[in-house]
Amino acid sequence: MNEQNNTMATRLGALRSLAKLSQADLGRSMGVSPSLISHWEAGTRTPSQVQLMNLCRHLGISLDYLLNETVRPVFSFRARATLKADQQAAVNRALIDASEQTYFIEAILRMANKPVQAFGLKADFSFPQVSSLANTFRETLKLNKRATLEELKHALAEWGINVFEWALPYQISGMSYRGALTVIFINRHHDATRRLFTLAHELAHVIFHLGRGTEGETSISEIASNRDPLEKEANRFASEFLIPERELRAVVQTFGDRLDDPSVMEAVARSFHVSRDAVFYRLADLGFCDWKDSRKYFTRHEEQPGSELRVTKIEEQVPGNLLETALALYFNERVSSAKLAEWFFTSRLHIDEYLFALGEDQDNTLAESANGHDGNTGS
Amino acid sequence: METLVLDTSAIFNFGHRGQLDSLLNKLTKHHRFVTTPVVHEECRRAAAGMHQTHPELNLAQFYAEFVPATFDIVSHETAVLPDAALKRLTDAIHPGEISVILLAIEMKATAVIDDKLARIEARKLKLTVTGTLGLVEKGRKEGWHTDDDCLEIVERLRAGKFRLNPPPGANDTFAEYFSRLQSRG
Repeated sequence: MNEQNNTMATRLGALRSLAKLSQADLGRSMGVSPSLISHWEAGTRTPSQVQLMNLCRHLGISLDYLLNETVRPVFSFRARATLKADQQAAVNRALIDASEQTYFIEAILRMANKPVQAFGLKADFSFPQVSSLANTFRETLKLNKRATLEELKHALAEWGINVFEWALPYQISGMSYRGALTVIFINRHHDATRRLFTLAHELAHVIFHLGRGTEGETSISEIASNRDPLEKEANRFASEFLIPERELRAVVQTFGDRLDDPSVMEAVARSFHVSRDAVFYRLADLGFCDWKDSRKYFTRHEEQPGSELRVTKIEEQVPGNLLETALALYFNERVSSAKLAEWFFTSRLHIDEYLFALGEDQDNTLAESANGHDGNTGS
Repeated sequence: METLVLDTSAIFNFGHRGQLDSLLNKLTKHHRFVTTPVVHEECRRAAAGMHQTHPELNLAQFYAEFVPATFDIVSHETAVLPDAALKRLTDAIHPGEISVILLAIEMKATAVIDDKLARIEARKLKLTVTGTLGLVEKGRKEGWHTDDDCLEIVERLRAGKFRLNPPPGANDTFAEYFSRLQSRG
């Protein structure tokens, strides 16, 4: 048994466990015996190419991911997830996809001969110091005090953090990984204000918690996961990062008692690009609102139906730098357009639409520049 | 009877993008149309995903009926690639494209693949390869449709967001255009 087979065998077992399939389940769906699966995972027998491809199909992963030699991050819940049984399969699928996406980022960079950019900022969290920590990181990231989602995404891209806006199961707000590279996933099904808060929350995990050995490399944030101490820290940082106390106090002074009016609260929330719920939490925390009034201000969120594709609007959901690198590989005929679809968890129809639009834009630009040139010549 | 193994893009072109029913009817009299389970699954997922952004097209329902009704769905059983070739393919092209190549090798069939790089890789493995427009050109040569009909098909494909690089020139005949595309691989 060579080293590569050994690694593949180990990965096969890990991926099967991640997919929550027993050897019997996988064997049944593939039409092979559980003992054969057991041999493959022990490395005592090696699957044929046909069997490898069938394995990928039944596990829902790509062949290059299965054959890849290095173990990749396994996204797992720190505490038991508060999920219903029927939501579990969709969540498992999302966790495998996130792990595979992390591998694809490295594959893209490796193929483009680009270095992996590690995120260099770390700090120790402290509740009394949270205001100063938030200020420091806002300044480091060159953000003003009322950052938008796009501004925060761009700032994190400058620091090499890959932010994906994925269609995730509704119960997951975000996920993050900090290792050789850093990746954050936020749930596209949530509205922009919630996505901004989630992104700041995941950033807190990356800065304060991940990649430190004891806390592991990955984090998954569920909606309403306030009991976990690390989630509390991340929420507190995100809150201070997006709604600085000094700014909020100034708003309270301006609006006074009118903050009781939910529409005034909505206006304040919009000015910080966050949800009304986030502002209420902050005001209640500072003693300006009573916790028992929460229902008056809270937004009721409708659960969105699940979707099979993580990405349907490529430019909005995929980190720009990574997309640019991948497109360069495509236009230089190093990868097929379908490979782009695989890398970015979208479909070929969406990739074709996107590439078609790029071509049309280019044609229009060329036409405009040609018209402009003709006009100049004529004058 | 020649066997054609179609990749996803060609299936979409025969389906909602180009609506090439007439060409398909003619071709199926002389060819066996085959695709793979990987491509079938990819079509299903893509159509379901398209339903999120373009529900009016109702593609999920369309492809749920179109693929099984039009194609034999066959999995390759014995074809094996050299390790180096498998590595090169898995790095650069999609599993659907790989499955089409393997099945075409096994069935000694023609692979119908539209992506240029995937076609180059298939030719390296000594496969006979064509694309959607290759089949349109075949129809023109057989006299099933005119050159102008072919240009209309190209316009339909482009309207369906199928990327053709370069697009046809304003004064091109289809034969001229296809010949230019062929010279580019």
